Amino acid sequence: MVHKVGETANVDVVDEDLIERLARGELAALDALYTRYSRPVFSLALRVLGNSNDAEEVTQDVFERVWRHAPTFDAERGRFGTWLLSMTHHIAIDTVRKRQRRPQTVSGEAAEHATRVLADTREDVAESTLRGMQAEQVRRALRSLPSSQQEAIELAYFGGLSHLEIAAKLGDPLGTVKARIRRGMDRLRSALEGFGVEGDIA
Amino acid sequence: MEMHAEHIEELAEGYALGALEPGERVRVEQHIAACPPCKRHIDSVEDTTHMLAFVATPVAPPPRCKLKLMEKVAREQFLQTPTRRSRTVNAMSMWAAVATVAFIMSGAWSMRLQQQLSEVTGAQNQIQGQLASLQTERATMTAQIAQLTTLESVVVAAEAVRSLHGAGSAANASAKTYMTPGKNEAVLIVHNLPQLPPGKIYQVWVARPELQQPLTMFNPVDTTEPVPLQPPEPMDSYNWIMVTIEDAAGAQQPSKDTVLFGEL
Repeated sequence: MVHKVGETANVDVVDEDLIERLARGELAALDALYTRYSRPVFSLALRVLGNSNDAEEVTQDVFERVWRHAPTFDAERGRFGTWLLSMTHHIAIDTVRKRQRRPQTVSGEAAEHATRVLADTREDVAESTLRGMQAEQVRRALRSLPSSQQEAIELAYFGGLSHLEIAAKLGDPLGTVKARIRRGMDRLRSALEGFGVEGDIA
Repeated sequence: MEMHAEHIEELAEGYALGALEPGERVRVEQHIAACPPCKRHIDSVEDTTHMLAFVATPVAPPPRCKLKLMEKVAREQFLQTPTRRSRTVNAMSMWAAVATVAFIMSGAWSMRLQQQLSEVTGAQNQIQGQLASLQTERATMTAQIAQLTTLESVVVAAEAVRSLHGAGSAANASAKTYMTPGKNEAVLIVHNLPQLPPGKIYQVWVARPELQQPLTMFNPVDTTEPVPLQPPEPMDSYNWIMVTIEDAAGAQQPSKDTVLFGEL
């Protein structure tokens, strides 16, 4: 199923409405936003941090900021979902760096293993919502990249490694790493054009 | 240092992924703050980048995560509200405003805390009441078990068994006395005694020609009921055992209403 930009607009309207209500102090709106977005937020934090307690803290932190910044949230700045996951990503990566212990040295597989243990497979099966289909689309798009591009992108996004660190880790020249990431991201963009980060459509 | 648009474009993916060196990141941020087209480009790259979050295996956070969040936010919102209100009170001196805030906050807090306290106290009382009645029930059951265990040991150790036969209004009833010669301890097990009308009770007696000794009273709930007997003298010093129907308070002399009778 192809998801059109026009449909995302409705989702944005729902989000904007919730943020407006939250800005007026309606905590029920925070509850609703949490219901819509806590899964992708938590899943991302868990993947980056590799343990549930840290991921919970990040999740709470992110939604607390949503509440704090709701009065100044600028809809023009971008879609709420992107803003939310971007914030999640920053906080999670920051936490990893503060720990001074990269999950890669614990190994990305260990983090994924922890995730699989925690993952509720029933929910996986039930993930047939619009977002579920989108998620599958993203996974497929990432898997379709040459493995070297995929690896570099995952090390950057989930591992919090810089270009330099990735080059050092893989033993490849810096220019090669940068080019791989750019080419990979370009292909992802054209594969996912028109999609946006969205909450659960309950 | 000012950056050209092509340089920004080169750094967009790295920026969105968070893979730039700190210096590069700062330069991108400075540039897009002043360049709307580049800002739009970065935004769109970020839209794609953060869809990568969906590559992570989907896991729902545990319920406590939401509880903690909502609790914290609700508490802070509660604390903030009076502060915001005080900002509109322009005419007041600083001191008065501070005092007002403190007053409103302490008033609101104490009201809320008092309400919480009374709720908690109510719940505590209720639980304590339940606990007390459970403890009583437990004590009763423990006592019953202990008694049954004692009765069982008396029955098992008994060296003689004497039968009682139904009579009068309880012709279908029967009973057995488990006793040991020389001992002041026995158990009477009754079967099929009819239910008593209100205000009446069964009473056990042991007797010999010159004496009618009243023993325990009982009101059976089951068709078979063990009744402990503790006569003042050994069981084998009496000639007869019988059960009569008496007024609920019991009697010193047996009525004529005998329902069970046997020889010892």
